[in-house]
Amino acid sequence: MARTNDPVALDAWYAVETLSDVTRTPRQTRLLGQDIISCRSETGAPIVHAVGASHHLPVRERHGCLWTTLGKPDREIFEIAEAAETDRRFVPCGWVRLHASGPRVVENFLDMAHFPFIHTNILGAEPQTDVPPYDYEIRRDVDEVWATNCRFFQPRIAVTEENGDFVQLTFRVPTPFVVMLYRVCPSAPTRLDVIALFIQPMEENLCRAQPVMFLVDDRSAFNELLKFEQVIFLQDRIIVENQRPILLPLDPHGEIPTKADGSSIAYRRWLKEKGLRYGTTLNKP
Amino acid sequence: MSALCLYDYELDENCYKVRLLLAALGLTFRKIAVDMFPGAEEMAPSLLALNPTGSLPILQDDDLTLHGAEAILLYLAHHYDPSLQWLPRTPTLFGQVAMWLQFATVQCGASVLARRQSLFTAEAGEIGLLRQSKHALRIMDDHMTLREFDGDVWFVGTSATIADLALFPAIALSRDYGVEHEAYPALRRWMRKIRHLPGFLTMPGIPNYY
Amino acid sequence: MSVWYPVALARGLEPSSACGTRVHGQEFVVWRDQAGASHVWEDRCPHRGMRLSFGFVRGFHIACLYHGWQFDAAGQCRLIPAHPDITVPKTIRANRYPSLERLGIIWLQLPGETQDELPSDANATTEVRSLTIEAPPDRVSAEFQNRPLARIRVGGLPVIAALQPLSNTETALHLVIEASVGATEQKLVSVWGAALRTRAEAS
Repeated sequence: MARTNDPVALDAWYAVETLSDVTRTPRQTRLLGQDIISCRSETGAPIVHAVGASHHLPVRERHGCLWTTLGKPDREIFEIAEAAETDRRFVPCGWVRLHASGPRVVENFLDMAHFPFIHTNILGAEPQTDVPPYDYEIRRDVDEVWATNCRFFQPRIAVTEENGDFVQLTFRVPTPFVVMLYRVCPSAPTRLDVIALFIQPMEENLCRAQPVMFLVDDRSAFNELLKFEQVIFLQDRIIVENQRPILLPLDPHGEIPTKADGSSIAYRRWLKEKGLRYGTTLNKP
Repeated sequence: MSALCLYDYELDENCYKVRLLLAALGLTFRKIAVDMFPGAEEMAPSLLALNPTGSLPILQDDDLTLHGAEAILLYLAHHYDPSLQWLPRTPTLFGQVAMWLQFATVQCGASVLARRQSLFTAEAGEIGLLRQSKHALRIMDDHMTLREFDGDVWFVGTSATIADLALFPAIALSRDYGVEHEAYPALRRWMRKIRHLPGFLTMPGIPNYY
Repeated sequence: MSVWYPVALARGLEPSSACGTRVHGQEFVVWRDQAGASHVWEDRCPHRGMRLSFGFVRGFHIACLYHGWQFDAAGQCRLIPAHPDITVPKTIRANRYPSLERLGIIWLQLPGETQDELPSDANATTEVRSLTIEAPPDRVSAEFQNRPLARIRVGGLPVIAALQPLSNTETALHLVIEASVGATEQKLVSVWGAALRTRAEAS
């Protein structure tokens, strides 16, 4: 175990715990190769420190989670406007450990073409496997990757729905280890459900991730909403753990994208521009 | 109107065993989704009142409340299977089914713990109980290797029993805790047979396509 | 120069199925199409690197589990479900290796330091089992005077023992009886193999 020296990875904020789990009892985990401990002080303030060091790391409480950094981020944690809406259901789905690299997990979240095969009869089904063209870009003003006008035919569009329809999705990658989707809410089409995936890279080939949802649905039972997303997320685990190489390739050789992989092409280019080594094949023999 | 009610967690392999049998028997039941993770709802007072061991699955049938996946399999097979295939009554076969149910609870328990740790631990180290999990899987593969020589394809007797269902998750979900199927060729062939049982359904960790 | 490695028992690989294996840590998929032909390829889909051993076999092709890309027996990708109407470019292919079936075993040919040849086929074989032994290949090989393919006698039966070096720490042993026999003989050799496994792992 050794803390990484990749500045691109170090100088960023990472969610490491759900706030409601942070108590007086210390909890240990690993971030970028560094073991860290989280707990609350007597005053209730959350504290994070590296194992073997006494000084406190910077912390933030945002989006229901405790965030920290091992470096010096040049910006604050990204906004999720919908999270502030008071009528939203906040559903933290729990932290799952994956023997995979963080960037592979992000790419899987961006991908729609796997819906019929991995999330069969939930997010997609044969024969409607076609991925309609969509738009994707690196937004230079905010330094984020976005994929818009995404559509896919889903047999069961959300917990509240029984019938199939084209779901309309927007994907957003605000930082290399966070990915989100905005989904037109079937029961309230002027509003967007938000599902975010916070990834905590532990080692280059090991991470923890938690899906966190800010939903418009005020009718479904909490446990049904939780189950719906947990099943989808856990169905992806066997995929991301079995991609070779484990680290995300950033050079164009070896892996062949298609038009449906636009968001992944943009994401890989963006990571390469940033020079992210952690979790990728950049500068590795 | 069915009186069967299952307190269930979709990602739990012990609940999955019961879901498999309920589907194979074509039984209607009410499924109550319990927030086992991250909520640990099976430890909440209302569920501890039903099952003081603080675990899932819990089955209710009218006034009867049962916990323990293997016990629930026994009850459902005994009460709701007119074909008598899922729990054979002849003493030899009954004894063998009971033996493998106990194996599923005890020896395959290592797999349950290994999987839970691999999925949900916050720490980065090697997970425990891998040696014990692989040992149980090896015993299962050795058994099915010998069975295949005689033309038998199920753990007990000449058709699927609740022993097969109870043993299935430990190998079917082994990749969840980092154990490949490479070393278990007889179990690979047996798993494909399980997939063809009536009502078969998957759970995350078991691919839909095979 | 090339070396032949045993990777599976032929009868153990059912039609329309796939499994994964390794030689010196390198991952391969072994699959059999519905017509009965077996194939050994690099265990990796060229799209996003998903292991093809998780794939599903339909007819004469294997499809990758992740996005359903279909590869024919020549390794050519023929269908990309996300774009079902396009003709897939010929450059999109899986990486195949030479393989054949002999002595009841599926063999994979890899570049090597020596040039070896497979023995000629036998008139009759009865497959027993493939054992995975948690011991280095050298230790298992020592049981057979360091021959990767040994013909020995077990309980009077002519047995072929073929070694597959899975990794530095694990070895697969494929056992075939070089005669047409039944369950009694298979069990005898199977139990013998399990005892060898125990012995190799204990030392």
